[in-house]
Amino acid sequence: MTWLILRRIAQAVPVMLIVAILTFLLMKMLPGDPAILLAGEGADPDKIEALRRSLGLDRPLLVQLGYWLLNLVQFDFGISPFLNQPVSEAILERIPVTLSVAVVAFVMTLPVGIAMGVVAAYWRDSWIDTTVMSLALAGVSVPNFWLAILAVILFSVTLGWLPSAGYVPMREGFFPWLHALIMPAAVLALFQIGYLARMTRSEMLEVLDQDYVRTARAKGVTEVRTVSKHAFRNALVSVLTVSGYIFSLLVGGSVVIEQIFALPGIGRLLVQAIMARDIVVVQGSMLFLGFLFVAINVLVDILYTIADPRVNYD
Amino acid sequence: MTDAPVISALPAVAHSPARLALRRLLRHRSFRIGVILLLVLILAAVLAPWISNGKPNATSVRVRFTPPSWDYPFGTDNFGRDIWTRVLYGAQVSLWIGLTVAILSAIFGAIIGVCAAWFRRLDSLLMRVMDALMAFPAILLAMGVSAVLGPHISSVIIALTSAYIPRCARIVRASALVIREQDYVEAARIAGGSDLRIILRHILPNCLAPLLVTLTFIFAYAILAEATLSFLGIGTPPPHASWGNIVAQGRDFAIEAWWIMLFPGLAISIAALAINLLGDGLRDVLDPRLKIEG
Repeated sequence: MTWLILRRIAQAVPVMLIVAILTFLLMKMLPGDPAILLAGEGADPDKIEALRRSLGLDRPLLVQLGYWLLNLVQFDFGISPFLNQPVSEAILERIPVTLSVAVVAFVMTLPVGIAMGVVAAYWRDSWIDTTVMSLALAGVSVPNFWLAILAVILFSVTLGWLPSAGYVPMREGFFPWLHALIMPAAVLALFQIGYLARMTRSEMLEVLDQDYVRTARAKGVTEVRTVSKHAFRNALVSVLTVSGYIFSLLVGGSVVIEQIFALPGIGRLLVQAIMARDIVVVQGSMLFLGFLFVAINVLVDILYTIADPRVNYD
Repeated sequence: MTDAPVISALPAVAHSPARLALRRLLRHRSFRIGVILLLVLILAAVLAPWISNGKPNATSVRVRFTPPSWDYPFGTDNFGRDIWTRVLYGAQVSLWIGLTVAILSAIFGAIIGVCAAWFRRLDSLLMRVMDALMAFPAILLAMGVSAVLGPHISSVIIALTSAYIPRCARIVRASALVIREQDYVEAARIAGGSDLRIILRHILPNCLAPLLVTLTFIFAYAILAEATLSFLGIGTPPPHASWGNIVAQGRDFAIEAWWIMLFPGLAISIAALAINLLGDGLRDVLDPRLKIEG
């Protein structure tokens, strides 16, 4: 088991390396000279030259890549000239906001999505199935930025129940924090709820057809017990496999939702950096998120190994 | 795959699998609804010059913020532009980008997937690169690529295609790995078929069903993703009307002039819904065991 876990971690290293190299190359594709971009149009040529040298842009590409990787290992993502702050610091300041949105949305997604899928599969082809699956389909079809605007109009402007924007840190209390997050998280969760419900349903349908479920029924096990113990337990394994993926998508989706609810998370940082053409920040936050997602995948696989010892990674 | 010998026992009018699949598809309820909705949208996009109220960017200060009426079915925006016209022209942009992204991802994904499955030495390198690309949720990767390439329709297409290639590559690789072990592939190899011939004649055709299902869902995701990028201001640049950037422009007037953002948002939802329904039908008929892929 320990061996398997170590191997899974080792497998993530090349992926992270490729993530880093891809991000590096992506930013090298940027048209124009980054030194001129940073110094501003029409800046003093000497200043541009000095900046170029201080950024190491006068060196060969491979050397630049080497330094870039070396800095990454030390969690040095460079310094943003626009924020006047190390990128790693800017990211660490904002990541709690993004993770808060994603975690609250995740906590909503799992029970609701799974319950919808199980209910629809159990009463397959009935009006319940049709209704629940239509809702799930709407969830994966309605764009969440648009839904967010509608939600603000309904819950903030018309009813006045929830704040339309802003973030309250957890240290000011759990309920104020949740109150500020509940609408962005719910809007964000809807897509994933739809996705998970659709997946759980097809997974459950497959399991409910199995012989051991029929056997359980035949020997007089109660319906609730048959569905919850015999069928659901087995469907759950594959549902949990996608939970890490769902969490990654929620973090990615948060990037968009933060714009609408003015949440000071990593998504806002990224979009502002793109607008300002602040490459150091774009590069740093992309990379940080990439590493985060690889780490989440590793974590899920490890949990999965512990839950189901039959698993191996080949 | 195993029913080949049985065919001789069937009456001579045995239907080809493709025709059988088509017939089952046409009987599939959600597929039919999806196809009809999508056809209506495509028709609206193609007929835009004839059924709209003129040019999508024609402004008229006199009619700023007109609510929906007989003359302006979806109302007008802050520049007096007709939203009905803009939504119709937006359909051209959104559907075009969505379809192009889906087809390009499928083509490149198929090439990479088949190469990984057939040339085993390339497998681990190709798949690690795909894993690295998959590490980013599509929308984030698209944001990064779009940031680098600047706001053009072509950069949105490149950005989204690079985000969806890995998903296609994985599906094709998984199918191709199974197919390459089949007896008929072995037979073709013994008969002296070249790699290229075996890939084109035997491997690729048998990967098409799952690829087609994946492609359909990517079509829907790409429409949503393009709308999202345009909404954030890093997708289809104004003055091109795209559903996402019309919503973005209408956002500031969401309360006083709700119609500006309402109708393009509905259009996005209906397009995604139609394609998802179509995809559900295709999956049920062509590849019932394929899990819904994001």
